[in-house]
Amino acid sequence: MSTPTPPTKPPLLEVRNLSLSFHQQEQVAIDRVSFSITAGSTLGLVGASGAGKSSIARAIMRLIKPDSGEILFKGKNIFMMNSQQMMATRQRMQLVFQEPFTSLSPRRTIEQSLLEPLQHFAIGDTNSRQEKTRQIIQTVGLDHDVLRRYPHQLSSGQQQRIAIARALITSPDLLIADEAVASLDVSIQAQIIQLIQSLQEELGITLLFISHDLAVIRQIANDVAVMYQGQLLEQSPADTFFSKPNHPYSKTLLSFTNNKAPTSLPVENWRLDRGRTTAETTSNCVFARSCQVKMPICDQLEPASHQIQYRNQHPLGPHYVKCHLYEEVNTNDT
Amino acid sequence: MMGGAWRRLKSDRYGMTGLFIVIVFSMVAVCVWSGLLGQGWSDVSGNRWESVSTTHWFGTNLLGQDILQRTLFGTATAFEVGLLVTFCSTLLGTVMGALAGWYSHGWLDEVILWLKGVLDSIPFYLFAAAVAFALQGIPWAMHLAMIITFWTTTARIIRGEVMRIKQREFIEAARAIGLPSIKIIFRHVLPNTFHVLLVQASIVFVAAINTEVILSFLGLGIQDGVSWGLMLAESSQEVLAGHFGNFVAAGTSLFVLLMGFNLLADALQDALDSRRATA
Ligand code: SF4
Repeated sequence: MSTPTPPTKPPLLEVRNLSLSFHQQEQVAIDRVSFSITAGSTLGLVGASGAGKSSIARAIMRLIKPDSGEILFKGKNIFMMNSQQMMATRQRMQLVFQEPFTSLSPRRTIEQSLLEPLQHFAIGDTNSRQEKTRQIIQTVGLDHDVLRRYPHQLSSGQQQRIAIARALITSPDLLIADEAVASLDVSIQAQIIQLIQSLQEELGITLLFISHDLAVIRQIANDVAVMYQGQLLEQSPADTFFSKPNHPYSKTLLSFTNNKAPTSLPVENWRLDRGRTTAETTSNCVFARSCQVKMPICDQLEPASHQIQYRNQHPLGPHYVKCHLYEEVNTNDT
Repeated sequence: MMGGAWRRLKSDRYGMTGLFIVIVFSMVAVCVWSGLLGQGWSDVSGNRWESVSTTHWFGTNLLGQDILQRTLFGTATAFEVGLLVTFCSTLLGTVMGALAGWYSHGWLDEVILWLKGVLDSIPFYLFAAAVAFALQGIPWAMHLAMIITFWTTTARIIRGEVMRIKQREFIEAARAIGLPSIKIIFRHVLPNTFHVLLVQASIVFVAAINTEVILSFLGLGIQDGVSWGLMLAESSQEVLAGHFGNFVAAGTSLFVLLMGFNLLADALQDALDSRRATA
């Protein structure tokens, strides 16, 4: 599945205390989220739709502006960059969307869509650009003659391959896949996941893989972060997460996935509580309303994010849980 | 993409009738422009109010001018007004609508919406009269009045389309690489409003020709040349005296052309709409 990455490597992407609310609806989309991704590894961000995953992706791409917090790419805060630095950074990170059809410009040929990033970043000359589109088409497993076609002439699997090709054509360091396989048939889903995995191995790309589907996350992620109503409730190396989840929400998610059909059971079923408003933040645990093991304190005090201490320091990275149950463990062990 | 729309249009009998009518009239207009038809519109070639004959198919008018010649020339005038007003107001409406839609709920949007609100609230003929008065002697006063008032509808439609399209992921993809807004609008947004623009332009065309007739009838219309509106204005005196030449010729031409255009516009809307449904 995945090779362990030594924790000494510096993170490629670091998100610190990121918060975002949509003021019109006064809804919290992202609530003090922090995580980092080591270069070359894959973080699987899982959560129900509406949990704020896409907002994180869009904030990283600077498509929306967060209220507070920092996003560091290769150690530099992207909100402090001047336009030149930002241009260079944009070239180094790319996004693949959920809907393959709407992610391609309908009245431009595939070739035009693929050439656009190269022209925009002034990479190569006319000939080398065309050569590059041909190469990338091959890399994503398609034939040259799709270059002259329009998006609506391709199948959704082909469209998604093109979207991946467009994302990869500037040789990015970070690829964000936002539900990139969610709207595809299961068989095509598997192909696209395989493609992303092999590309990652080949090109050493760092991946932020966003999905509501734990089965998909399991196939691809080195680390897992669980999101619920804008907050990260658990972060852990994938192996630990899938064998021994700690947060009550993670447990519910996993038991559901394990008991029923193993391939893909969406987390959508936990979309019980709709979004919160800003006024409601911070006085309780966000999961309290659905939690099976809720304690009195959970309604009064928001739990902090506790690092789970293992007798031997966990080899694959830290393990955080945002739940009152784990305060004891923490204090006892240290 | 457009192939499917054309196929649907071809199977629409009313639409094809409309298209045929429009093509015939535009051919007449082209012939007038190239000097093949209607050149004798101002020559006095007969006596006052001659009735229908082989030399004067539609008779002559008060001054003894041939009404057929004048009707043909009027076709070219109608197309001149229609094309010029449609082109300019569509261009203006598209740019304003695109800016408003792209920066929706920003200050630019507010300004454009305010301007549109002001223009829409002025009674059109009053406004046209004011412009015609202010620009006395300038032949384009009427065209200008129409352009200034007609762009608002196009702008409203384009604004809505742009607001819809800018949510799409391919726009986010373009923004993600940092493409400037102006490039995104022209390269990725506006090409996708083409089908709406085409229908809207055909509606504006009809409105422009219609309005020309009314304004000319009121004496606010074109200053030189002859138009159907001017002919109808003339005829208001003649009909009482029992001379129907001007009235029938100009009225029928106007009616047939507008009907043709309306049929075509309806058919276009249908043909292009189902393309949108599949998209
Ligand atoms: S803090 Fe309390 S309510 Fe929240 S998950 Fe933990 S036990 Fe459940």
